[in-house]
Amino acid sequence: MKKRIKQIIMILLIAIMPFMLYARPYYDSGSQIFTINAGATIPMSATWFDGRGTEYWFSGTHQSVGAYASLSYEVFMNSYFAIGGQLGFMFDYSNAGKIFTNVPVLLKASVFPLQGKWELPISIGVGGAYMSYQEGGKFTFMATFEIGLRYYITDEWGVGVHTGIQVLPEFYIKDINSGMFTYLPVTLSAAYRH
Amino acid sequence: MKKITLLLLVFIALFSACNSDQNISIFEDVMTDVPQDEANNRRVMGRYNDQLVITNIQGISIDGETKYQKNHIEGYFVIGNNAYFIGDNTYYSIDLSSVEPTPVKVDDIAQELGIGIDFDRIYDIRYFEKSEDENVIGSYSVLGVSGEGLDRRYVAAAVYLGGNGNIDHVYAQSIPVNQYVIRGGIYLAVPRIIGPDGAYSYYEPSTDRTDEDDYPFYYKTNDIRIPTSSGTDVIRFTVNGSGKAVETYFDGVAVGVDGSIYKYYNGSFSRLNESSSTNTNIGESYSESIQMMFPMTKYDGVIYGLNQYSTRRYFSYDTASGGNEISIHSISSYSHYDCLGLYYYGKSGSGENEITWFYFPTGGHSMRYLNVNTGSVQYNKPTIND
Repeated sequence: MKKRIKQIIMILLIAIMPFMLYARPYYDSGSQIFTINAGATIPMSATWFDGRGTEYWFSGTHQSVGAYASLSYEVFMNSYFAIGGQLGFMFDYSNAGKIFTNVPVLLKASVFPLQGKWELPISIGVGGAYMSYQEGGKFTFMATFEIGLRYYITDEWGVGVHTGIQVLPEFYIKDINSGMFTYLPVTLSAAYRH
Repeated sequence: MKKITLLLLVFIALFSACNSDQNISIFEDVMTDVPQDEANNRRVMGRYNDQLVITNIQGISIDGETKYQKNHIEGYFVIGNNAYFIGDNTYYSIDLSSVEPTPVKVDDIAQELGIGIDFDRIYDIRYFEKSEDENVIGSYSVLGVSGEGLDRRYVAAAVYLGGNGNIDHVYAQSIPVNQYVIRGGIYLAVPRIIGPDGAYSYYEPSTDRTDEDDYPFYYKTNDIRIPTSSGTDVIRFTVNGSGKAVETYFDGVAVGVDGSIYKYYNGSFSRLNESSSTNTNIGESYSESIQMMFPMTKYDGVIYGLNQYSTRRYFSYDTASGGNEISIHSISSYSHYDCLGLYYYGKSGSGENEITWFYFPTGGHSMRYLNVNTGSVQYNKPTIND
């Protein structure tokens, strides 16, 4: 497992290194970015941990395309790395046409291998989400991975497009109902940096 | 890395603790919910005062709290005037002659079975006598399907009733059959067996199927086993006799009123010989292949079954004659191919025998009567109490 994670990190570093080599750092320690994201979420998979396995896409997850919106704030620790938080809201429709909602509150960490007029933010987010469906609601764990491409129209204001994966598990200590949903978000963003 | 792992474990523990209510799963709710029009089709059919009673399932409230929503109905069966439900990990019964349901037994089926039963469509209801066991007055098998589209998951459950009328045992098995969904919105019963010892078994379809276009209702299977309660096979046969990947098709299976287990294979009925792995062919050969044998019901020693859709036939199997006669009857006016099963209703006013079968045509629920004396089909509506 450790080896696999190291390999993934190495691959990512190799992938972003060319950008970092040619990129002129725009940000300094203390720089800030406010981002508003909005777009669609596509249900990717539903996994059950009781042996039922994983089912994919709309027919497998029993959900249809939903929407996702978020507001995030990040502060740069150095020229390339920023940490912050994200508050979001997402919903998808079940086969019954009812809304399955989530309100994620995430800690976010991002690297910006390309920055300036064009920007390439790569982020991970970890935190909790309050999910609800009909009368039921629960607080659960949530993790996200996101990659985007932003263009700054002015020195402060930029627009971008983002995608990634959102992981939403539901855990029980000894219940068979433990499972995990994943979603593929495709969002547009407006960012203000300072 | 260890710190991150530890942090994740703490997170998981915290959220698991938050989710200590074992009976509420958001994901299960999302996955098993069905459209309203489909939910509205969920009805219970039973007999009361010689009338066929059909009632919509609108949910059951106990002590003012909705315990049993129609979206979570997993299966039901009827004994006398009572309809018994399985749903939301709970058994309930409804007196068909009354309005208010009463809880019979509250149990956590999921804990007992080790799986979740999430029928989203009632599929098949059968009843088989089990007089040889004084402790069991009847056994019911309920088969439902869950999931949607090409990923429907079949779930079968068998319920056994003890001599006191209470539910003694429930067996169930989830059978993912992703490739085995039938086109046209028809969902086939997975042949299942209730063994003479009361054990429940099922056959697991193979992962590939051929000739889909020509034989959409065919399943391939390796073998069928009927385990005893100790898990030892008492009956086992392999379709092609070699135990390897099958080259032939298995058509259907049923349990006769005498407790024998029959298969329909390659155009003929066979009774499984319990003492060996060989099969004894007791039925006359029927040249026209029957792809699927529908659930059977019995009436006065005759077992009735409905065969494959397109041939529009039903068969009767007269146990009184020694179990060697199988009659095939045409049903010329039967044009629907999405029949779900047979249900014995009883005698009509004219004294003729009737078998009711019911099915879910696209977007609705309907029934037809079959006069087993004449083979005619009646389309008149039964008495319905919605």
